Amino acid sequence: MEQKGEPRSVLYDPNVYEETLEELHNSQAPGVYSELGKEWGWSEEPVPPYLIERIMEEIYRFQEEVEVNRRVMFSVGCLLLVLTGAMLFTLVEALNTLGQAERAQVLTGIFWMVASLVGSGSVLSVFFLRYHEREHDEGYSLHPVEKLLRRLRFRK
Amino acid sequence: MKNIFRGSYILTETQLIKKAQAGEEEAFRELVDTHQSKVYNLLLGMLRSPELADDITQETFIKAWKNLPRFRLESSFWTWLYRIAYRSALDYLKLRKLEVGYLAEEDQNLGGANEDEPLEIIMKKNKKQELIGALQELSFHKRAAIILYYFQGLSYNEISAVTKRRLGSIRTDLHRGKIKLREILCRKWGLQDGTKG
Repeated sequence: MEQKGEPRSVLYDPNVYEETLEELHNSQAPGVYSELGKEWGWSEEPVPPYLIERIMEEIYRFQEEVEVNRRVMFSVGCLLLVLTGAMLFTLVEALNTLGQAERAQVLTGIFWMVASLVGSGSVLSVFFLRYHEREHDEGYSLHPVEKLLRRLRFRK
Repeated sequence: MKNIFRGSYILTETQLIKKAQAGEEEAFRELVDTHQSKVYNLLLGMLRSPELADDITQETFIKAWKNLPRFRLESSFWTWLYRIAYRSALDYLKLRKLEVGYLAEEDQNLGGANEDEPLEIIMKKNKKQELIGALQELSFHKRAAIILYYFQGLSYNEISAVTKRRLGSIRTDLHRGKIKLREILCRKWGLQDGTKG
């Protein structure tokens, strides 16, 4: 026997259909499965028992990766610092052995090298910002500028 | 605000979120435990396939964990989760371009009726299959609007917060989706549509 609000019985009349749907809206909520909702076929499906474990496994793995990445970044950063220091030292030593004209040429070359590095770095930064801006638009992340400001604030 | 019993004391959801934001994984596990059913059932309605709902639920919670430090407690936690789930489902469908009937052959996946089961359970499963099947014939935005408004009981503003769409678009989707759903159900069940002569 068909019960009150059962979809088959309300579809004939558009007004009854509208009223039943409004009643359905009022009786439902996230995680709430009303009798009317069940009549319409909206009943709770049990979540697979393994789901939470899989989620947590992924999270533990992610946290480990973050930790490893942090260490790798720190090591690479230190290495780059040492290399940059060594390069600068060698450069200054080399410049001291050069004459006035040659020194000007080398400095010009260095200027263009630094300029191209800064240029390509800027392009990469724009792509990075765009990517994070998309995340922000999707609604689950802060705007990249706000993110940067927060990081700077935390550093202080 | 829901209270969650933990050991000898009770933590509110806000306290759990703050602990999880500080990196406490066990606090996040409790949040997952509380909300996984809502997210899973929402995605099941939107995507039809239990396997996909499984995968996107996982993705949703992993994204939530990654972005949790940025969650500012300005909206409720489940709204935020729904937003991530909605975007993930939409991204998935965009990626695969599988809007309609992409899983027609997997009708039985929603727990197809088993002859040994009691009649009541078989009827319940059939109803669910029919509803979800009809919803899949709607476009993603209309389907999401119908599910969120009628089957999740969300307000227009809440739907707008979840989908990041304008109220006007949501109203239009809901109105058109409602009419289309009625047509689909009438056709499926061989009923005469009262609005058509």
